[in-house]
Amino acid sequence: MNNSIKKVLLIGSGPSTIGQGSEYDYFGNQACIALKEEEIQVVLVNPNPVTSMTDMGVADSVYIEPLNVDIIKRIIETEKPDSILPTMGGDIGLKIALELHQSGFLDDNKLKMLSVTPDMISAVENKQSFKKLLEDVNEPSVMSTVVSSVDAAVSFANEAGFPVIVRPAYTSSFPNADFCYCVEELEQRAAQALESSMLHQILVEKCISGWKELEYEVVRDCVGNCICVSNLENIDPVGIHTGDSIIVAPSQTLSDSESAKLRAAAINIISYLGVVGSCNVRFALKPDGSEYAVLGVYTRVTRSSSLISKVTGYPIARVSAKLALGLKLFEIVNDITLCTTACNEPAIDYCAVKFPTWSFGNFGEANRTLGASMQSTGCALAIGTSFEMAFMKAIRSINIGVDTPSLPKFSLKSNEEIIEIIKNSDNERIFAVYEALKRGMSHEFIYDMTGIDYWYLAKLKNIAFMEETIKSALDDEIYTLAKNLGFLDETIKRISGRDLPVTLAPNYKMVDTCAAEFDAQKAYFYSAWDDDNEAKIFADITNRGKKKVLVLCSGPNTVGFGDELEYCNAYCIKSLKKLGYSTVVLNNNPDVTSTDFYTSDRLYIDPLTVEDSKHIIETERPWAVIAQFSGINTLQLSESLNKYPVKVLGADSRVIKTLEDFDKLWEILSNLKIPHTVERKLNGTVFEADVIYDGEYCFIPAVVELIEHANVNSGDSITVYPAINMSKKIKELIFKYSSLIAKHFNVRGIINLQFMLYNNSLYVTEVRYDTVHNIPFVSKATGLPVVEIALRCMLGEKLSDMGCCDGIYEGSKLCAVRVPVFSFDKLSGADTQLGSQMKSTGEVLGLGSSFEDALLKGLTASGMRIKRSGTILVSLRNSDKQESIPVIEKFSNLGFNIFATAGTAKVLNSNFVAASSVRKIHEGGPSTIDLINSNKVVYVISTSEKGDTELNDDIKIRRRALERQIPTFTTLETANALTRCLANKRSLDDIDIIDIAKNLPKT
Amino acid sequence: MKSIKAKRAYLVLADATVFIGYSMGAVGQTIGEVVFNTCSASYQSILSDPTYYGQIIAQTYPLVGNRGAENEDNNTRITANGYIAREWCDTPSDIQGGMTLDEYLKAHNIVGIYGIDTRRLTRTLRDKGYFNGAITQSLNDFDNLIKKIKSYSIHGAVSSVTVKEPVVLKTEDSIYNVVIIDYGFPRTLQDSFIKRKCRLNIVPAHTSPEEILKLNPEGIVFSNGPGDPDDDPALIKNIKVLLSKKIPSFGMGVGHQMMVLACGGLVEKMPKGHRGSNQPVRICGTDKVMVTMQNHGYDVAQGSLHEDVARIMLTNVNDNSIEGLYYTAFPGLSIQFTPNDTSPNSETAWVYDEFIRLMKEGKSNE
Repeated sequence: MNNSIKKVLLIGSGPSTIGQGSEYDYFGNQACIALKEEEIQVVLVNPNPVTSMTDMGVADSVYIEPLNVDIIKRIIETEKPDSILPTMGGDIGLKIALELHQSGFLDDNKLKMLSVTPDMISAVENKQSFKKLLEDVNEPSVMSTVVSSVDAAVSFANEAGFPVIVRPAYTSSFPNADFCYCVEELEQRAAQALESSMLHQILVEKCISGWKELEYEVVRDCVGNCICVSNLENIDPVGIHTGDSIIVAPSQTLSDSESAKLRAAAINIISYLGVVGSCNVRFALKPDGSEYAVLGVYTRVTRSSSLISKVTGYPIARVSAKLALGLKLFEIVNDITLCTTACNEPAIDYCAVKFPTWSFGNFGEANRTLGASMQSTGCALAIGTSFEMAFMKAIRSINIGVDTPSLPKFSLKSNEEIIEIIKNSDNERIFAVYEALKRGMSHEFIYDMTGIDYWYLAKLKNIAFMEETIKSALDDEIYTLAKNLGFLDETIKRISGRDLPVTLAPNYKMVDTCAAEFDAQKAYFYSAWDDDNEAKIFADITNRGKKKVLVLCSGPNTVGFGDELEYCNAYCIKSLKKLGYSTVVLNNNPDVTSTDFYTSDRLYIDPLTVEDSKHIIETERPWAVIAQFSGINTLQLSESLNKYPVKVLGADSRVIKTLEDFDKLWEILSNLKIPHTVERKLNGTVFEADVIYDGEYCFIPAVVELIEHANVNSGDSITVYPAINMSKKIKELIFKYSSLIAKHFNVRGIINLQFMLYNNSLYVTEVRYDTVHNIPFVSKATGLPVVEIALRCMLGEKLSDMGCCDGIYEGSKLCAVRVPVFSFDKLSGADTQLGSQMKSTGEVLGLGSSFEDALLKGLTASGMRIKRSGTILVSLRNSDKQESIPVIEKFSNLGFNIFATAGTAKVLNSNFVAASSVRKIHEGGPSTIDLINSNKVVYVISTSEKGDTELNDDIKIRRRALERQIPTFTTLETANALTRCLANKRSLDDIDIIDIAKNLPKT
Repeated sequence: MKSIKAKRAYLVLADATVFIGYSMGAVGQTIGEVVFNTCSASYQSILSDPTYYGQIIAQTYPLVGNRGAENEDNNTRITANGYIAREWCDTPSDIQGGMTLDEYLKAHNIVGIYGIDTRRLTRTLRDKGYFNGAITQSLNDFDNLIKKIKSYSIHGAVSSVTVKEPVVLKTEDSIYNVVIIDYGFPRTLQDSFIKRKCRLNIVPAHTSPEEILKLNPEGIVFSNGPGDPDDDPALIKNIKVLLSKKIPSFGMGVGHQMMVLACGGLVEKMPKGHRGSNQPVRICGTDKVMVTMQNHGYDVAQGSLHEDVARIMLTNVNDNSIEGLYYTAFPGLSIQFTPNDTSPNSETAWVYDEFIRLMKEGKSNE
């Protein structure tokens, strides 16, 4: 180990967006723990509060600050670390490290960059440097060239092989890509493309769509030892983003020599680059195995590293962090076996399937066709002793309401419609493929449309065949075979229409990195229908004498049910352990800390269904089950577990049922004499509070205020702590109503309440047991272990024993603003207007001594480019026009030029707010779009929504603004909040950076 | 799809444990030493590896035969006694004009079983050490079967798999005259020598030292192969004579173990052996580690060779067992595993180069 390393700055990845989610918290958390084990002081920067890595006790210093080079420089100047570890924070981590290097800052401050060098980052940074890297290391890239004649295009294509893709270089519009399968076609298309190029140049690229897509994860230590942790094979071939592909581990359709060839290439690349840590190499392999091309190289942990860690039991982030300190592979103990080390390549004795989940339902207008850019928001991991079993488990894990790949809606479609869906390759293609197989369409026919390997088609066909067999000939043996293909009892019963001839309980197999070659000391499990129940053996010998709690987690991340649930669950597991409980976790989301086998005592990777969890309860016999922090799907699951002799902590089925029935809820509130309404008024003020109840008293860690009032999902709202517009009287009333409600439902634990202040009256607008979105933010803003306090109440402890008052916590001196972060740029066609459906994929936190400071930090951290002068384009729905006057006036007074569409401009001008009129798109001539294209516009305020006549124009404005990265406000409240920030005149440099590990009270 | 209900088969272990599965490959009964292998691919090269002579191979990876079996030249034999997989693939991804795994086993008359809990089997083998077993389609006469299983042992493995007549392989530019004493090595190894300009004389295991010395070898390879190193004392006696000539020598696998015995060292039966493709081996005195493929159940007893005879060159990272030796009494080295030289950046190929270096030094000393 390199003894000169004592203090390391670790850069987190920031907010979750599509393509970069909670897996980076899992990495960061694991890396922090690994570094601390080696007695390294860890300084962490990450503006994302929904992270375990920013929790107390993980890093030594924690800066919830924007990932901005100037801020990072200030942190370095304050903390004086000797090294920086940039490989745990995604692209942004590497980018910041490179900027720090290029500005000379690293050298000036004698900072070592661990794991990678600036040269390595640059080598894979862009297309040109990457192509050069592959040439240097003598590995094939996807052949491409820029030519200026048809002849040159043809001679390239003859060398590279058809088909090729032709694109004009430098066109005024987005260039079309043409596929050419023969010389004649190429000649014709190339000529056209040359015509449309302003420079008379075209890009010709070898077309590799339909090739197999594979990834190899390799790790390397500082003396050059390399191992390959595992590989992954995409079921969907090249053409669909790997993040949107169904993935299998290990690869299934490669020959020995193909696999050896790609493994060698991956090791060749990491060795050439000299990365000390992990490296992910993505390949395309021609289906006949004759050729391959390197598609991508990542010199850091990636989404795939998280999947591979969970599939193999090899903790890649942990190992990478230790390697970065100079430890060698053979010096890092494998904590599962305790007798092997990180230089043992994991041996797998099961098959794993990753199934992506999309949240298209939240983005009504978005195009569901999958392609080059990633659109999924989460995924489920399933493990089985056969591909079919893993695939069936995956289907159950993604919460789409089916337990086989048969989608009822597809059974009604004609063959032509099914074929159309398959060709369109949207997110339901695999189900259409299954339907086609059921209808007897040939493997060859489906392969030609999809490029999905025959092997996978045959496996899907096995499932289809079993569905048929169950219908006609269910007996003991067929039942057993069906279980081994992953069918649930419930499914078999439904399909066969009769009672089961016999029932079998699953037993649990281990993920142990060594295929049972060694006796595992710590392990995690998946269900299988075999002879041995290894989990039972484990459960019997470990954690004797401790009360055991099963934590049911939340499954795949989706928009609205994601990081915050997992954050709370990870905290809950840690707290249970701290409190002396034995912890058992059930989850199937590979990208989170709760499925890190270090987090709990025992982990099960399986679907979160009644039947699947029932068997785990039978094996583990826990004292209690908790699903409180896992969202409504899992809460409903805990409800059905009531018939087992197990205590359910937190909200129970009685309460959940009541809260689902609004009429009943309002009736209860009326009886309690609490004013209530469902309508959030435009000029009302909205507060939220998470109320913790111990059976006697109530404790509210924080009352927060939402900036956006009407019709915006509270998860998408900028949220402020402490509430700005809360008088002492209102505060007292909030506590009074909270106490009444908590006492009425009499559930020890935590409940989320929403209030609206309107015309000086306070109303309750929502009561929910399944909403936890404020908890991470409030935990960070107040420094209170909110989850732990709630958990201890559920376990029967008293608030007073924890030092919590019967009231609202007042101990924090900080202002905190939570700003939602969206991924609209990843979703083609999605409108950026906010509404009742939650659309944000992540959040950041700004901390400061005033609201304005905190907001400025928060907005900056969210990626918004804050401008203090320039042009603002305003286009409002009618109902907003009057309300807008004071807001726009503030912008005007701050010196911004206002441009507005005719109607808005008229209202503004007649109220003495100067605004120039600009034409709408459909009016013809220089329009709003041209104005946006002119580079003058610094903000867009555009509020029309569904049902407004302006809508189509405004969607176009908002999409264009998004493409040009111009901040767009879809509500007046958000725009108004910005004016407060700007009027404050303080810049980021004027605001203190805050180490929350030192500045917040500890309890 | 194969018919959903296939013919029953049973795996019976020496302690009378029975695993119920389905029949694959040839029909019949077979007895052997049951060993597991943790590779997730490579089923075909494992099957054709002669070091599995007399053994029944159990794959820990559940999905086998996904690419079918390639038609190889007719010289390839399967020397294993049986094959165990959880699931074999009847619809290979790309059959490459070959056959399914089942057809391949049938063609080589290998009895197999699938559909059993292979992980439970692995755990049993791991915990109990060496274990004989049988694959059978009938449990009739069970007591007698158990007796047969218990009394089974692998003998004469080398004699059974070694070449019957000497074979000479050379190219135009051969420089080194090398004798390989064939104890039953995978034929893929030949290329590693040939591409390093070796003229190969592959001779039967029992060829006398006199016969071998008549070939004027500049280097002698004691190949890897199946069976126990002390199975045939005559072979060790021959090695002793050859080593005394101080000709550069290279031992692999069982050849390595027999070299140790010939030098007066000891080999011991290991608690569970090394079986798989991920055995990490460290080069002593360096931080360099290699990932190696192994199938052996014996290793060299620590401290059984004096430093005047040999010093330790390689050790296993997991259990610290001896994986390779440099000889001080004569120019030579020997290793426990099969060096892989097929991929361009193989970590183990240097072992061949080391042998070549010894021969080169031998030449220049002449």
